[in-house]
Amino acid sequence: MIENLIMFPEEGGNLIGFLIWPIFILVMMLYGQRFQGFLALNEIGRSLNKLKITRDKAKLEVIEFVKEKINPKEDPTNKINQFLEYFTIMPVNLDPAGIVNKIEHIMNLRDHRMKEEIKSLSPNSNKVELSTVDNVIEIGSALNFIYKIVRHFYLFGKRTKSFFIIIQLQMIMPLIMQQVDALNKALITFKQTQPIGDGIGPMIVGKLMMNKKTQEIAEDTLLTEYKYNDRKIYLMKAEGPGGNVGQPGLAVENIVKKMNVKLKNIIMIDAALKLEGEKTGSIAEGIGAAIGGIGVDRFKIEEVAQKNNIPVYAIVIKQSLIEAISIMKKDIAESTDKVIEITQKIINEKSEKGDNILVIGVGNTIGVAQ
Amino acid sequence: MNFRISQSADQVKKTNDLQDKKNKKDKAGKIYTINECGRCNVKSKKLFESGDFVYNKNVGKCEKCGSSQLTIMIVEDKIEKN
Repeated sequence: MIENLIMFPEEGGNLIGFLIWPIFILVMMLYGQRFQGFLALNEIGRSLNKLKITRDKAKLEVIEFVKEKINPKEDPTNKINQFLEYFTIMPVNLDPAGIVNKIEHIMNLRDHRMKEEIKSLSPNSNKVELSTVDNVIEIGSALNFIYKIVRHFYLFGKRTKSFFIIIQLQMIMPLIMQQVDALNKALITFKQTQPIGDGIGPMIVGKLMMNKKTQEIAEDTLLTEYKYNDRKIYLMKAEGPGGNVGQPGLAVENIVKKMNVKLKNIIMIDAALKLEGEKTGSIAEGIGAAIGGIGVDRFKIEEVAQKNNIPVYAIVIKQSLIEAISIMKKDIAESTDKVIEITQKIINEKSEKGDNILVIGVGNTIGVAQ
Repeated sequence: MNFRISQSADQVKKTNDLQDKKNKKDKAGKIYTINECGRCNVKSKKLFESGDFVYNKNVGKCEKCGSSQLTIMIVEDKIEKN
């Protein structure tokens, strides 16, 4: 049968079969790209459906959580829908000099406004409850934002029939869906105020801070002093067990400028994204400010370190994006004692008796006290 | 587009639910609160309860020596021990 299709008619082949191939090739040449675009659109559509379901489910969960957790005076549905649509306009960067302070101002304003709005829902709620609600709303808001952006490019690509927009979106969809899954998982963890992978830095420093007197050095940021091997160690982490990251940049500035502490070293402990193939919970040492986020805190720490010639050492605990924002894995938690040993080794090797050393536990301290 | 999305939403939800069940069965471990005795360092493990947090000092007494315990970690673990 197949032989007949590819044989010339005079050789006993089928004429229709003989014509199918050139027509098929011609059609594929003319409409192949459109066909590929159609398949890509279908694939994106399926992911978008999943994204929509996840977003809607998260929205309902956020509303239910707020109702249960802080028992607001009135129905919070409208207000939470409003929170999920909040946006932040970043400062203009045509003249970048001084932009970090402008970004800091905008981000602080955003955080304060959100906290005030949440507090207005239930003025009697405590700090931990309010910060947990803040974190949960932030996750809901991130899912809402991702959904809207993906939907925008999907519809735009479909309307304009732009093959390149569709294909680009199709290519990054697996990465987007991975982030969505991570956020979805994080929602459960944050609702129950459980420690997340990113909280390993505060957990390690929190262990050293236990049973010691603390002072608030910046908003939601605690500082402790203690003696170790004739050196003065300053320990710093965000205030737990609420979901805070604190203001480590401003705190370092305050230690050096307001408290006039001459620091010999800064040691930063943080979670870091692992590369594929790296083991979760593995530890790596390096130099430089180990801190993520928008860059304000890192800038401030680097600025203070450079002006005062303070070496900055970094210890990171490797984990994936999903592990960083979902319940802490045992492999990550078990790195605590090893990291403390490394920190003590750096203190002993890189400083002398009488020196001041600052150790910062960087990350979200949800579910981790001190 | 909206029609197509809403039409297949139920189907996707069913697929998701099945996938979630499969994932829960395959990957998700249980969440444990691990406490340690301040004196004899004996560790005890219990399922996580709302209100637990790391470095909580009010978690009862050690079964072995009666000293105060401390929560040292809250983790997801696949293998149930003890």
